[in-house]
Amino acid sequence: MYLYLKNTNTLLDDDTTVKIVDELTRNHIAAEIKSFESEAKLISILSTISKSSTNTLVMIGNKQDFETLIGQAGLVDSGIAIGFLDINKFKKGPKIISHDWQQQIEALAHRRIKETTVYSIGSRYFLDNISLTFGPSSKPKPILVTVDEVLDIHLPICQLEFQNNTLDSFQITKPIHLSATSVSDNKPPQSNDLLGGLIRRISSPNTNVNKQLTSLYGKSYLIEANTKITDNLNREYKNSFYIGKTSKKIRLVSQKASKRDE
Amino acid sequence: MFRKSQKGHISELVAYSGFYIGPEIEANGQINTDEDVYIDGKFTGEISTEGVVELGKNAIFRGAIKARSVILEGQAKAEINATESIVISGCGQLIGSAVSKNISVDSGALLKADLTAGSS
Repeated sequence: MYLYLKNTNTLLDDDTTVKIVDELTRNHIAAEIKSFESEAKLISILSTISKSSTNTLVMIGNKQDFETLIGQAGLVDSGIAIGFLDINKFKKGPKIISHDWQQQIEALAHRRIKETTVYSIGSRYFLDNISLTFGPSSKPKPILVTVDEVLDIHLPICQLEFQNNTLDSFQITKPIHLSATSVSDNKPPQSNDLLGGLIRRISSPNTNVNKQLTSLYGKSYLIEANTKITDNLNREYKNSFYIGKTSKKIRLVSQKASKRDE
Repeated sequence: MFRKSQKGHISELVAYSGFYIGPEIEANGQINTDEDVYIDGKFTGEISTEGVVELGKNAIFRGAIKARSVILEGQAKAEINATESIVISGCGQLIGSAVSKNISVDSGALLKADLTAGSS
């Protein structure tokens, strides 16, 4: 009833894979691992999964892989729980193996479910936060953000970060925090001018610190910009799309192992 | 949300986690919140909050403000109504009206406004 997903672009060596499979087997949750190399392929896999054959879908990979899966949560039946085996917890260095990974697999086997609301961004979803970057534009303020349909913000090219604040009880009515920061265009010193670059860095104020442009709270945001728009997972968006609270809930498998007596 | 300076100002903070419109940013519409609001850009519209509204030195504000307290350091063509206090600093400019229990105006401020102070 478990099904595992793995991004072929995420480095997972054979030794670690064998360790994972062994531990899954030991916990009686070993099952097929389906590989994908792109979001399109992931969509194709998800569209074939039904809750009659799968009750738990687990991403084996890094946080970006998990966020890519959450992005397509709309394709996952609400009866299917979603889990995550964070491979960064498997290896802390080239040879140091973290003990967390066994606990992660135990937690998967315990299948302690927590229902969580996801937020929409265009046709995708996100869980905690997402950031957007914009391509170049000749206009001084090419980005228009409309907050809750009542507030228009005109912004220059910048980075927008959206944070889900559902856990903050003060922000129930305006659960998404938006922070816009300027994009640094400072280039690192040329390699043949290392000393000069170091001197410039020491003698001049640190202009690499990205300045905050705005900070807001809202329930929905309409983003409009006639530039290329990409998120932190390098996924592209249309020139106009909404970000906001949804009624979509997903069932997440806790990454913390339950106590035996629970 | 904001960690205020000793003078009670919101400005000059390292990071803003409340409502903030920075310099050179243009916004228009409504802000309704319980949080403090710091405007240091161009804003046209209405602000309503249980907290403090600070219009920074770069602010150009047109509209109406309802808040607990208002600190004005920039330019405002506005109707300001604050339950506790309104402080207009020496570099502040107000055209319109200001109503509050306490209103203080620093030397150098430019006023062309109806001021109503005291509890009714």
